[in-house]
Amino acid sequence: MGEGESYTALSVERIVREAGISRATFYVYFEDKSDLLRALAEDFIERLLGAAATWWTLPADATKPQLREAMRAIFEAYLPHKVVMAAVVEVASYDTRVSDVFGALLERTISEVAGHIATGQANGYVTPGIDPQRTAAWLTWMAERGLYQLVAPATPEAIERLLDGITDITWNTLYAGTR
Amino acid sequence: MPSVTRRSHGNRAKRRDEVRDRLLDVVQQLLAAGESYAEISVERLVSEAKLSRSTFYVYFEDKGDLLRAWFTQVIEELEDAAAGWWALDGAATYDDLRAALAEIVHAYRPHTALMAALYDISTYDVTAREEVGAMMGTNAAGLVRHIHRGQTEGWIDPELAAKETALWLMWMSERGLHQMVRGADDAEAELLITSYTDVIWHTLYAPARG
Repeated sequence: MGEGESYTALSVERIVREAGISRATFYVYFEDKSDLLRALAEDFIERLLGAAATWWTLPADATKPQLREAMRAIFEAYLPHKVVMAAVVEVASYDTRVSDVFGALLERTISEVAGHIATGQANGYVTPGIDPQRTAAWLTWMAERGLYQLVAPATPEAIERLLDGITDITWNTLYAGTR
Repeated sequence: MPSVTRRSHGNRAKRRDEVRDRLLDVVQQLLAAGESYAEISVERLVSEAKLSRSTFYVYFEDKGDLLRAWFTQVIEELEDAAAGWWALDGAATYDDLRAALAEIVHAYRPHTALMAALYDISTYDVTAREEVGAMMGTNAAGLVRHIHRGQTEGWIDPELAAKETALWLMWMSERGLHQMVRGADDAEAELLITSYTDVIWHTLYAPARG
């Protein structure tokens, strides 16, 4: 896929041949191609959420540069696996098993961000009056689509500017009013 | 003679619009019943719309072409709605912003099913993907101009990177409309408009208002 092929067009035969394993070995571990993708996606999701935890465990007095570093950790977890994510988005449009995994990732992320907002509001370091759940949902969808559409194809210089952009939006929306 | 040619072009365009609307009504019904656009065949579409297969192919190359014909029209509605946001200036209040964003959400809401179908086909239909990309480009450019104007005139946070902020916010709008507003009832849509307004207000305008 790194060479521009679509996951849908890849055959199991081709995958096992390129990987130097037998067809039988493949089917010992995976039901089919979607099952393989689901396993890859689950692994990827754990890494991504692990990196994102840097953000929602930031201390109450965190600075904008610290937020930027937390965002960088998310980018760095995402970029090496962007091909898996592209395959997930592609296959999720027609395979519910894969779209369910993807949906679960978004739900977990939204609930973590919502928890961070609610805790921050209770402790005075997140903008009061904004709806934790729905604000978290808008920001999470922004991150999901932006990583896929903007960050994945960007050059290193463009990635730095995109980091500035997502940091500015998150900082202004959540923290700036309280500092 | 040119007038005759023009009239026949006009008739063809009118007939194409009629055929398009009839087919799209059927598409909306099938999508509402839980079918996916990718699985609906042209045969099925024409038979439900009581048209002949050949009529379909007089006006449309394929199923993707039908959806793109619809999209061309919807883009204009959405761009008109977005113009209300771009027109805001330093005098705009939170409520003015909310009203402008509500207009965008309300313009989008009747079209969520077909828009979802368009996103689905754009994972494999290159032309559809390019058109979605072009729409995003136009909207992002509108927002970049708005941010630049606000920064020049002193009512948008001068520290924001205009282009990147606009790109992230555009994708947030696109996904939010597609994933959250689609399927939301009226009350939920209002709550989503409020939190959408909160993000935009705090990102762009609040820092410059002290």
